[in-house]
Amino acid sequence: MGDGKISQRQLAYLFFTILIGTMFFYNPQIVVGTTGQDGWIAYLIATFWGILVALVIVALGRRFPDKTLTAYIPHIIGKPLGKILSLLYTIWFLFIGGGLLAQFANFMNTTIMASTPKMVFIITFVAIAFYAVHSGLEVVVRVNELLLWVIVIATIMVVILPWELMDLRRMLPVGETSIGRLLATSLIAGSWRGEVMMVGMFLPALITLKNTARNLIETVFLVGVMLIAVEISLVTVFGAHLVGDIEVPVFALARMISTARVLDRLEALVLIIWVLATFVKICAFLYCTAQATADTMGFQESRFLLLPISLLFTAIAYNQTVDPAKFIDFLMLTWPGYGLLSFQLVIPLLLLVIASLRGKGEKRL
Amino acid sequence: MPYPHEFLDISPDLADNEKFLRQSFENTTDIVFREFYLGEIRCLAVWVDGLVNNRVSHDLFRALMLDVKPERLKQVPAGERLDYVNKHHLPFYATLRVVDMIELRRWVLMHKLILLMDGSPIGLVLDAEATPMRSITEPTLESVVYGPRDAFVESLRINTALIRARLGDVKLKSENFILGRRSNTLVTLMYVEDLARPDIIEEIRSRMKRIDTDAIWDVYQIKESIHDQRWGLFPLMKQTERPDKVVADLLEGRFAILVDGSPQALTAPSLLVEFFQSAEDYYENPIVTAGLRILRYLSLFIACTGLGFYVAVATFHQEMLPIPLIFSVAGARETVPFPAFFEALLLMVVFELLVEAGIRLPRVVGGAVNIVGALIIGQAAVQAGLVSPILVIVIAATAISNFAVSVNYQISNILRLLRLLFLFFAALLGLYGMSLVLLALLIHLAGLKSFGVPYLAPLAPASLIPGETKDVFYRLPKWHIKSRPHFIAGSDLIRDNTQPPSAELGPGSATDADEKGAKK
Repeated sequence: MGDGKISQRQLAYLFFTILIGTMFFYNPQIVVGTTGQDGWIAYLIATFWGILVALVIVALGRRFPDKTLTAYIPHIIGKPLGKILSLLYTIWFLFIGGGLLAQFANFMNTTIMASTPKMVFIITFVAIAFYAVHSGLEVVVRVNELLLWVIVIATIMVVILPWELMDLRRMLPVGETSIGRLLATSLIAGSWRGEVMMVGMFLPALITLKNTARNLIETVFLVGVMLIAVEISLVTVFGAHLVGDIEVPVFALARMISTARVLDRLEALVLIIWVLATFVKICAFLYCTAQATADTMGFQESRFLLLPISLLFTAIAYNQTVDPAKFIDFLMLTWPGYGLLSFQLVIPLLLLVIASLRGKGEKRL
Repeated sequence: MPYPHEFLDISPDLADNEKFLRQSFENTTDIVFREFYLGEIRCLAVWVDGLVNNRVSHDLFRALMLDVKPERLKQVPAGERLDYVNKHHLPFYATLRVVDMIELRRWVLMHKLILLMDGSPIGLVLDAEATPMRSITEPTLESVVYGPRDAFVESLRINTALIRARLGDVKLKSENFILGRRSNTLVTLMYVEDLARPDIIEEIRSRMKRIDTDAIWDVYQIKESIHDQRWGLFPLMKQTERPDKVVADLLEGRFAILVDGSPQALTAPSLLVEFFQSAEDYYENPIVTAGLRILRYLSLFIACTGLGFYVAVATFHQEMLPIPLIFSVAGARETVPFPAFFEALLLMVVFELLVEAGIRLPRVVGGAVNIVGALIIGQAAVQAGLVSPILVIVIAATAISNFAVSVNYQISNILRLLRLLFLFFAALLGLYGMSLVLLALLIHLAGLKSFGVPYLAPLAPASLIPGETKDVFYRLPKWHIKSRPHFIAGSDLIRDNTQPPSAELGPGSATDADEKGAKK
């Protein structure tokens, strides 16, 4: 961990998977549920939130090229306050990662293997992510380089194959939703996109910082395009009202696929996307949590923290309530405040302002 | 001389030398001591019977006994007589002058003929080697339809000659190592000086020097000692019996190791994708090759996961199948008394037994195994209700895929193990279990390095440099792959500068070509 350097391309690939990964499972339901067929506009705005987050975090990173986010926070706002904020970030990584794991286990448990206890999924998954991160960051990004193509191809298949059922008239009328509602919804969707904030933990591992901002913006934009494609596919197949009522609309979409009497019921595709993307994300969260813990506690090495943190992930995932109604509630009401409006955008932006006012770090942008 | 050893001057008195040699080779019947005189000067030749060319040794004695004039020899000072003979009378293309008795004794054991003369404190080593060997035959493991048909043999000299014959490059270097304290085996390291990375060559040299063993007679024994991993399933160095493959590897900046007595060469650094590239891919139309490569990767997938897939679907995910297929699977499995996992394991073990038996059995009774396999396993097991006919199809498909993908036999054996792993986890956790195995496998492979080169390159880390992925899932024409692999080759990266072939470049349309060139 940390000893392996990664390339720009590998970072872009990693964040492509992280951003696209679990986004279109619960996300379309909420976005389409509140903004109807105008969901794609909310996604478009969310993409700009994501780009903003990427710009802010890279600008911060450029001031402290050899430090992670949690390592340079105390340099900006002073040690006592900075350590507390770093700790909060550590806990943020821990809880979002654990929550992700809980969702995953719950999904596996409810959809395909009902008689297998959730704990089995959690433990096996944490074990495999532990193995990957323990092998080094460069191993994680290499594995991701291969998995990304599977995820992208599977996504494209899910989006395109139900073409027989699509009716573009379901996209009409355009622009029915009020601007305020679109903005509010974009904050929810944007909080997924805001996970690009994690890049602050990876910047020191890069071989060179050159072009990072451009690559990340491209990544966020491409993810936005793919999400809009998913949203359009969902709305044209089911209609906006129905999408808002289905728990995991993409899963339902894959069930509808029936092409040429051969490609029938391709839920497996969604499962593949879910398993692979969640794997990469858990690895990233595990890495970030370990790194952030080491930074906050002042350890030089973070590899030895992986085992206890993996156990924490397991415990958090197992104890988290995954009652669907509560979960959707959390995503709609708490998540934007927990994501974009604090840890992802607002706090880094404040940090950037303070750093430039106090003249901390290297002044090159 | 690789090992520190005691030093013993050759005595001017032949009797001393002879005594030493006779004592060393006491109770050794295959050493020949041939004593003869040049005039009155006593001489002694020593060699291992059977390892020296009779014709050459006959020529030697003829030259010495008939051509050398004793009167002329007497005029030469006693100490320089053997040098004189060496310069004027030995019809040999390679001779070596040695002053150390221990070294001289070792040359006898390394298939050479040695010559001593009374009064001269030196010994001569004459290359008249003729080790018993078979002639060059077609490759047996890596056979192809097109392309060269010669394979390495057990003689190191012939093998290096097969490589040198194809690669007449002044930069092709070969270094010798003598390995094995007891076997004194000659090992050659070959590389192209300005293509191989100097740090890799330095690393292989130091790894070779680390080997401290009593005997070596196959290239695999070296591989085990210098492998990047202590306990690894995947080969990080490639073994091949084809000289053309070795030449191609050398030209990509790899090094090759040849061992006297081994009909295989070892090349590294190796990438995983190399094990799925057949030599034939390069002697066949690129479009056809692309199809064959894709077929090969497909068969890799089937060979690994096919059986696990059957068990996972039959045990956990029946809903994934189309309804008519579910009925036929369920109908076929109705009479089977075992769970799908045990059924699959049973048939798989029996099949693997058949494969192993097919290799070990004498050729004359091999036919019997085929009959047993086809009739008893295929037909009778289904009729007896032990296994379902669909499983027989699945096993057959995985087996055929396994053979189709085995461009390299080492990988094909690994696939057999992986199949078992996938089968086990499919029975445990269904498709989820299989994806766990797949992920674990990818993590393991992504962490491997062969002499510092990532094993999954050029896929992961993917290279942005054009040309790196032109030879993975497909192969582009030779004129199109302009550069050598950047992560292996050290310098001189341009490999091909041929103009793409084009009908317009014919003599009839020279003006057209000129215009095109001007536009560029």
